[in-house]
Amino acid sequence: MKKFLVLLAAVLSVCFMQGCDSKQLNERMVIQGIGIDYSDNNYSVTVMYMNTDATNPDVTYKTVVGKGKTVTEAVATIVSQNGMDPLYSHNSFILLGKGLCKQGVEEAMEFFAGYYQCRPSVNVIAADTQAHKIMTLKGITPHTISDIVNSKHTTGRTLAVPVYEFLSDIINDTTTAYTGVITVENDVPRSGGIALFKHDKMYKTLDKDQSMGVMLIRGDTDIDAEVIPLTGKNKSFALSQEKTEITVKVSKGVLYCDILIKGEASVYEYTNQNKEQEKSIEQRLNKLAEEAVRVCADNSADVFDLGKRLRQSDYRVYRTIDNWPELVKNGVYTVKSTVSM
Amino acid sequence: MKPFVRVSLCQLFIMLYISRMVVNATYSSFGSNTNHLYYGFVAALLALPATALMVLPVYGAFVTSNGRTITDNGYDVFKKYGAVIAVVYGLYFLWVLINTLSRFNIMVTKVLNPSASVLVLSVAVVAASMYGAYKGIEALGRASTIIFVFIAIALIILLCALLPKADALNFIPVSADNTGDIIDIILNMLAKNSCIPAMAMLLPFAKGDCKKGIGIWVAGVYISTAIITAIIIAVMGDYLKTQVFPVYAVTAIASLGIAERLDGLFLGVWTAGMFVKVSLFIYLLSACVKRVFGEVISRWSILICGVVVFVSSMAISMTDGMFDLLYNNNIMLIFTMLTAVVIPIILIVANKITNR
Repeated sequence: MKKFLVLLAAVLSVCFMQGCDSKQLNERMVIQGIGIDYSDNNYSVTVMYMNTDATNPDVTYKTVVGKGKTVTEAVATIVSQNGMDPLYSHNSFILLGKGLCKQGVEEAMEFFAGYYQCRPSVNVIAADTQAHKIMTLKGITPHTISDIVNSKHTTGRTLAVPVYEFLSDIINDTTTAYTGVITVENDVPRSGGIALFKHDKMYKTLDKDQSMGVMLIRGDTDIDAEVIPLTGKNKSFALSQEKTEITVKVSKGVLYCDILIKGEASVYEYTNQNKEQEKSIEQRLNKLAEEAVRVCADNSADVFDLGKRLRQSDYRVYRTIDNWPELVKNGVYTVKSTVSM
Repeated sequence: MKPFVRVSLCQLFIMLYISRMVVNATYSSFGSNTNHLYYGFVAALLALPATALMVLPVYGAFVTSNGRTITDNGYDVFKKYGAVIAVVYGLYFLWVLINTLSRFNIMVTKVLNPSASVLVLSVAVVAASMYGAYKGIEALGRASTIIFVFIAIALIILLCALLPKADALNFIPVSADNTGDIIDIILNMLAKNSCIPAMAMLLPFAKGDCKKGIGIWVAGVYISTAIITAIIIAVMGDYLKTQVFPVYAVTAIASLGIAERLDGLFLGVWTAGMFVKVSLFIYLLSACVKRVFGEVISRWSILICGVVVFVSSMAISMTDGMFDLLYNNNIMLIFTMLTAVVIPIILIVANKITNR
């Protein structure tokens, strides 16, 4: 009897639990990238998805656009257009259009924080034009954009922030949210600096050198090739094992911040002037970092988690601060770099 | 008379550990203030000694009754009025079961797949748990040991995957101003100590030194809770304010090399843990029912309890007023204190008088 029941359960499982009634692959919209634009009180969502249509195998990706009063409605419009069931779990980036970034991104991002299929680890990037324009460039694939984003740890020039970190910075009382910018040069997408957000609205874009300085200070990145002058010639160095020590204190209503950048530098071109190289690299790093600090302070941007650092080092003082942006703006910053060759 | 069926001390406390961690890990923070998670690490470390104290009356009642279950002890001391104790414990176990299942229903609705039928899934979970309860405490003990291995592996993978993403700057220092918040969280944690009343029924089944087992269980539960809470805060920062189920959200962030999207793995492991908890508490509820109604109902008690739990949890999931009542921490705390502390103390005193 027992064996019969086990056999019956196995047969029933084979018949009813094999998932054959679920969606086939060609009925699913396997999303690879999402772009969001905002204009005239409407969201426009551009979706790049994998082509699963066997009748047209040469096309790898398809792009579709939907509009609505909310991101959810815009996505629903897309579904009503092609009848495919969206699958968000394979999405590799969210590209925020310039209009949306100026208007405020929090409402749009709520969809990605709350919808159960969306992954909080997906990278968020800002576009310096319409997201739709970048995603419909000739020959572009989702990999083109995600490859730019993924170069974060090798070039020292590109930044990408996952959804959970981006929203965390927007919600936090002191931090300034930031993320990388994608720009278009000669119809080719490129990394184009860092966008700073006041709460959820973009208000400043840093150029490439300033962005590198920010990433240096944050200890976010290694540099693969940066140029220094040495004995009248240009030499390029790489920086690895980059780490930062930042100490913050508030004294008599003034923010004091000491930044120390450490790393291991390599110069691949032949030279025998190690000490001079070290000095020259340190000067270059200092210049990059000082410029980044200056521009961030001028814009009251706390992209270095100074508020969080003060919260940990002196919670009593931190709780008495009522105008953090002003404190950041008028802060006294010192930057020092030490590299070993 | 001691119960005939016995489990090892290790199996018993593994069952209780899984039962507690399922609540802590999978369904934590639902309906509560997620800001509270910031102080959860400190609160867990403070709740550890508080829980150790909370277990003492149950252990005392077990020792002074010469190893009787709390319901048997109630009948020994108060004769036929001992039925009141069995009814109180039965209602408490029913409350815990409804709470667990309705939380699971909500989690399935919000996190798993809204198009899936919650009704069918609940029927499957309750039916499997009824089968588990029917097989008895020995079978549950063995199943728990296997599931525990998977839970331990999942937790280790989770920690390894999340540690590189952790940022110590996300912690908020504790100051005297946060004392009220921390006390609230500690009370919340104590209210969830449903395993202590369960111990009052289960300690007589264990072979070995219960004191050691209780100590390891209390330390294990709260140290695990403190570690999980710390890693959630360090990884998610303020993002956790946007999440209804922070533990699930943090597993969606976890990735280890090419292994990404580990949330499915953790969800599977934790659902297995929930099976242990629901089975165990259905078993305890049916034990109370049997004790009150005797052998007349003993054959059908598990089936009846399963149906009651399923119908009640579905009804409560659909009723807003009852829902608030179910998640009211004060009511849960009073109920837990009554069964974990007050009744055992009364029985200790009564046992002392009777023994004298």
